[in-house]
Amino acid sequence: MKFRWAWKAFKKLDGIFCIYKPKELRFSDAQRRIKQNLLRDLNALPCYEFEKSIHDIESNKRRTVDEITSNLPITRDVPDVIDVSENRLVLGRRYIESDIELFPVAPLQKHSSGVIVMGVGRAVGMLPTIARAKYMRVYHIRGRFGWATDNFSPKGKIIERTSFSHITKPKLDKICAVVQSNHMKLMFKYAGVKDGSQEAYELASKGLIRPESKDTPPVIYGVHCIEYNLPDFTLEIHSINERKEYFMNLIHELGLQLKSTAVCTQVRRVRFGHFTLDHALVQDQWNLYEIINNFDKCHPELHPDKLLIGSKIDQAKSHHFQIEDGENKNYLLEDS
Amino acid sequence: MSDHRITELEPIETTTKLDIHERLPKKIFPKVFSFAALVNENKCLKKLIALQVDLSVVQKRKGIAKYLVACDFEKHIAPHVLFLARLDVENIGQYLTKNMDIVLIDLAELENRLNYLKSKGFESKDVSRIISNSRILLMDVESVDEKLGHLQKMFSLSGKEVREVLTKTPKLMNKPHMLQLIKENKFHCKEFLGFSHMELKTILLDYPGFFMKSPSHLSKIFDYLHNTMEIDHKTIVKNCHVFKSRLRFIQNRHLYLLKVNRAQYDPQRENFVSFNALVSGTNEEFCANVAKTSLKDYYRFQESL
Repeated sequence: MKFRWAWKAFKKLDGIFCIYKPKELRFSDAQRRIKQNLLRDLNALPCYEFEKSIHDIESNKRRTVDEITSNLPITRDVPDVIDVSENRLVLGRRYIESDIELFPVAPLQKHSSGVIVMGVGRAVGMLPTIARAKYMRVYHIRGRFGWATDNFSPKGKIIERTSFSHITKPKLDKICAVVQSNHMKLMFKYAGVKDGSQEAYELASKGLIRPESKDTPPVIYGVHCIEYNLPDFTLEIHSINERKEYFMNLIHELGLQLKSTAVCTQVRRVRFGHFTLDHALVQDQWNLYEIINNFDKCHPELHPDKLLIGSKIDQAKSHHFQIEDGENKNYLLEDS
Repeated sequence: MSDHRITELEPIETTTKLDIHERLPKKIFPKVFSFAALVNENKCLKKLIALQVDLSVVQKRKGIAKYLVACDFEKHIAPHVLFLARLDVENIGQYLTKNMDIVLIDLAELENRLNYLKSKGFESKDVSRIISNSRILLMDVESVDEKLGHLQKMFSLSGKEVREVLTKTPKLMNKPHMLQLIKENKFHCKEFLGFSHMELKTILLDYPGFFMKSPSHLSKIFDYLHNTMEIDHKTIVKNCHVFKSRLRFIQNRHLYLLKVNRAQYDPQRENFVSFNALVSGTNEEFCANVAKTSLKDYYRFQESL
């Protein structure tokens, strides 16, 4: 996508997109970097009257000695009678940091990596709706048997070394199944219904039982071992309202249950509801053009049918939210 | 007491008409926070714009803004511009944007500083390069001499080598605590990273910008090159331009090359990947020439980290 004017690009900068945060990068740093990249690309476009392109101006800048000494001031290819004050050389950059609003849904901590959904511009108003949907997140958690640290993270102080040769894949699978089944009971509790009641039955018949709000303790829906290569192993965990500390604790407990110890070495979010790795932009792609292209990619995932699953509205009955596909790009949900 | 008295009935005869505009001060400038309010009327500012000086940057410098508004262009600034033009400074607008303080310095003093550089045996081509890329004209002759002298002593350089270093990276002079930084970096590289004095000297002659980086940046990249990629000191000294790039680039590209089985940094074996090829170039160039895969695959790989 090419733009002739910066304001045209700025007008388009309004939507939901998806990034892949690398590990060892603080989320606030990632946010700042995206903002700076957007500003860099916006300001590189013509912002003021009579500006052509930053490359044209650059080539105009080189002057010979004669030009500078003899005919001052040099008029450019612009009319003589112009307001000089409205100029990049006087007013500086057209777009500054406070012009861009950029916020995430469920950001990740420094040491974890993965998909983060973000909104820019007016679409920031859409983010609470996405948060309310309580999407299921899928994580790939790597762990390593044989050691324990004081704060469960691989960078902590090692306090114990253990043997792990007695661990087998079936044993690990068994523990994973136990974790999963324990959380089955918790689902109803956090959803705010009584176990075995009519209400619970109705809730369960509709599909996934989601917790009532985003403040409940973590709920785990599935734990599978997808890679087993002693001493390393990788678990795929489906959960809602999780935190990194919770996973680190989980891996530690898992190690203890297997009569060994384990440390969580990597936390990676591979899916956030309908937003997958296919949607996400890696750090080299965090620029204006890729982000604007990404709005279109993420837009189908914001359909009310997908967005209202977490809220208690019965979507079949609510004709109010029906939007014709592709035609209306305004987010009606903002008004609700 | 005069005899002649003006009675109240007699009209007062005035020869000149009273003009209220004449009595008032000619112009009242309210306090302004930007040159934008003055630029249309002020001749000097207008001419600076014609020179492509970025006033939005200049106005933030203390003391300069007031001086520019009040001064006469032909009298106070044009001589300096001509001086720079005579020195063949490339892109005078950009130079003035960064070093507007130069208009506060006497021309004789500037000539003095220029003569110092010439007396030290710099060629005129190098002089214009050094001046247009550094703030050397804004510094005292004494402090410049002190810095160059210390640099020469620290690495036991010959006069020619000092000239070479300064011509290669004139920005070395821009750092306010340049000597301290170089000293710190030298100590760090010698004691912690294990480079010898001669190795550091070759690095300085090859890529002086190495010593302008922060010690933590150097040790991070060195740690990755030496401990993860298993490259010895000799090769690192030869390819010291690697320190120009960020750790993230080296890390991502090295891991990707490992994945596609192309991480081969030994020049004596086939499929050799040079450090220059690893670090420089855009992602498209890297994927096409070095990794020989599509860009999409590279981005997909980054999502697995």
